[in-house]
Amino acid sequence: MDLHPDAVSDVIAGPNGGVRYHDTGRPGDFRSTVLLIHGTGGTTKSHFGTLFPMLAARHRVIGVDLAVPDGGVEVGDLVNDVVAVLEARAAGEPVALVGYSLGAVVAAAVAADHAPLLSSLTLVAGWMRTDSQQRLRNTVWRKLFERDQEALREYMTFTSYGSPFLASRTDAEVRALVDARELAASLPATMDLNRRIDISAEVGRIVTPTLVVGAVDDQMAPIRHSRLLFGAIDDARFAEVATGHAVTVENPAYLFKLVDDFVSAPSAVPPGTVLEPITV
Amino acid sequence: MTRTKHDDDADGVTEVDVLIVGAGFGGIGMGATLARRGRRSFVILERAAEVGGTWWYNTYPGAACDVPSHLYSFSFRLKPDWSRIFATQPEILEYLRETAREEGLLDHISFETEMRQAHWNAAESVWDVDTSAGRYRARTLVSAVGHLSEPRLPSIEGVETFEDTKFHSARWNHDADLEGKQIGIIGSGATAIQVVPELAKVASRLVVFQRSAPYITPRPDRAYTDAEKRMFARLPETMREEREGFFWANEGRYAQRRGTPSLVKAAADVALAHLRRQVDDPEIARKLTPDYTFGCKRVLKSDDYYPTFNRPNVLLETDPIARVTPRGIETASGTEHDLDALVLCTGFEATDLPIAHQIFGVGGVSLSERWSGGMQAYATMAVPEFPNLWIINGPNTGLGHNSAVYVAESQMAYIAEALDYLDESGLDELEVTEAAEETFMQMLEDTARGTVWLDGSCRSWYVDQRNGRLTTLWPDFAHSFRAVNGSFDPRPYQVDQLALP
Repeated sequence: MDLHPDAVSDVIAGPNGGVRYHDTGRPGDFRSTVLLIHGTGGTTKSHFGTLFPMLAARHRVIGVDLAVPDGGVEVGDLVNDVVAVLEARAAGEPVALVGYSLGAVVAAAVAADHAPLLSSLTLVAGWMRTDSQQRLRNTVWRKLFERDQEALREYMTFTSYGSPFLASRTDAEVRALVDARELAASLPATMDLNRRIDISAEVGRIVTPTLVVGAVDDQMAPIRHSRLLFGAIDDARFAEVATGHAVTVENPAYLFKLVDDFVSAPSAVPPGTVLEPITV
Repeated sequence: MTRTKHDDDADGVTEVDVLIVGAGFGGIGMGATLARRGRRSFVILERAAEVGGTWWYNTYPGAACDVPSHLYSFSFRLKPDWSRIFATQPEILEYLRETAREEGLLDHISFETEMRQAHWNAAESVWDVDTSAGRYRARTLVSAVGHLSEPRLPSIEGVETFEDTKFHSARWNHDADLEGKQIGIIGSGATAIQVVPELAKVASRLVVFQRSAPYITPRPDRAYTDAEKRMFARLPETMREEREGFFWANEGRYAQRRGTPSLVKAAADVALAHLRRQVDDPEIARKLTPDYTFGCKRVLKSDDYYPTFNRPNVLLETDPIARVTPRGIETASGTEHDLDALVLCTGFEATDLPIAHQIFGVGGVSLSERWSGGMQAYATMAVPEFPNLWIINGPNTGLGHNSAVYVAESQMAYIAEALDYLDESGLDELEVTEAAEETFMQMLEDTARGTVWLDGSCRSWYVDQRNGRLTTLWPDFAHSFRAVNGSFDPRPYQVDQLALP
């Protein structure tokens, strides 16, 4: 597997069909386990290609590739997939759950009802309830998807990355980002789900020590959503990253440091704390 | 602790609290750190007539740093008007001069002073230091000579017999007239790739003797506009963002060194595409293609090295050198290159630090003897049997991917806290335990496992050939260097448990 030399990939049967996962765990590796959940239209490889090996130097890492059938999907289906992987691969051993974007929505919903499976929860560029700014973007996305997929790839590139990130690249480099973008078959169904997210009730039940990470230049799940999650979860801390929504690509090292420090000692920083920016 | 260097006693010995060896980035930064914390009793020994260290000695044409200048500067002295992303040597040297001046360090520096020997005086818990400008007695000794200061000369047969102009790149002979000459360059490392494009402009013929081709990635250099420079001055937070952007982008590249094939390959592909795009002749491009894993040796940055080999007056010689003759170089297959000048870009003594032969600890054992199996230190700074000695830029401080100034600043903070602890605890000395050093080295060895540096595909100065250990490089993120080594903890030292807080 090209995610990491130690990662073994396989498929387990979930309640809605097969779920692919990637796991660096080996007999005799007693390090703590981090489980990563990617976001909309991504995979473990495309969203965590750099973060996964960074974490794998210090932890056992499992990545779940969310399965989205053409007929549509609900948050509960994705929760069931993640729980199936947790039970198959890490039974009896609480893991550090890390969700990014839609993966953060799924991770929060897992935490709400399966607290004993988790040692900590990290929500990166997530949200709780879709608002009208997000629905407008979703509407534009849908129209471009139906009429002009080339323009859609440009639009998705424009909204995914932070404006400082794009501005500091050459036109050719931005073009390469557009050209590299693949429209996953699962995208229309996932975007349909994104319109309807509302896990406000579930989030109120979370008791797991949580780190909420908001991205300052995020246009897809703007940082107000992360601030709201910080307000909604009792045992939560908050950190900002100076990127757009694509934090795992724009600054994986900074995110790694936040996640690694937090999962290694989730309660070291008291609930309600806003973490100081890491200065250099 | 208010003694000053003027406290000469009857024997002509100058007593001082802290003696720092070297006035480059490490020594100037250490001095500024002490001065800013209100310490007055310190002296910096500098063998040159000016500050700057590496940036004073390396004046070769094209000399520049390949870490962006906003990052390659002290966090406590950001400079809004850096002229370019990657400043050249004169501007970096001027930055260090200005720092020394404005931090009030010039009165603390003893120029043109060579440290000869330093002996630990156990009876009085001080370092007795003999220099070319008199004797010193210091409670604490800080070595800040760095690991890239002593030129390494190649052990090639006949190299001493060459009759015409010959010099090492770090001792550039600016009086030599190289215009229109046939010039040979030995080496293809970080210095050579900066020197080669410059010499190609003046030489009638330039022969580059390459033993091992480096990986070279694009160097996105440009001048800052006046608008940017004033924005940085007026809105310092934008300057910090610039600096932090460079730092974290470099940290992101660290994942390429962890031996994840997909990331290593992606990074190698960038370098190889750069090569193919810039070199016309496929045969020359083949010779410039590295034969080892990306990152195993230092990855270099240049936009003008490869195109130099498209010039008609430049030859890339990959046939091994058999011997240097009085008039040129003869290769293994018998080719003779007549040369008017020979420039040695052969690097520095990185694994056997010359200063280690001049420092003698408990029982008179030299640091080089202690390090005969390879250098090592607790927290990269402290060595058992060498109390009250701290080493800046010593073992395991090199980074394959980020700024050396960030690492050195972490060490300066540690040392300053150690000095405070010495004062507050009332202890005379701090000597780290053997067990602490061993545990630290074991931790480093565990961390280094699985990195490209130890995969055996290359021979580099990162690994000490005597023990196969990674002795010069920090095998992790730069931010973890600061987390692990950036603040003082007395527990690993041989201190009375009652003295602990």
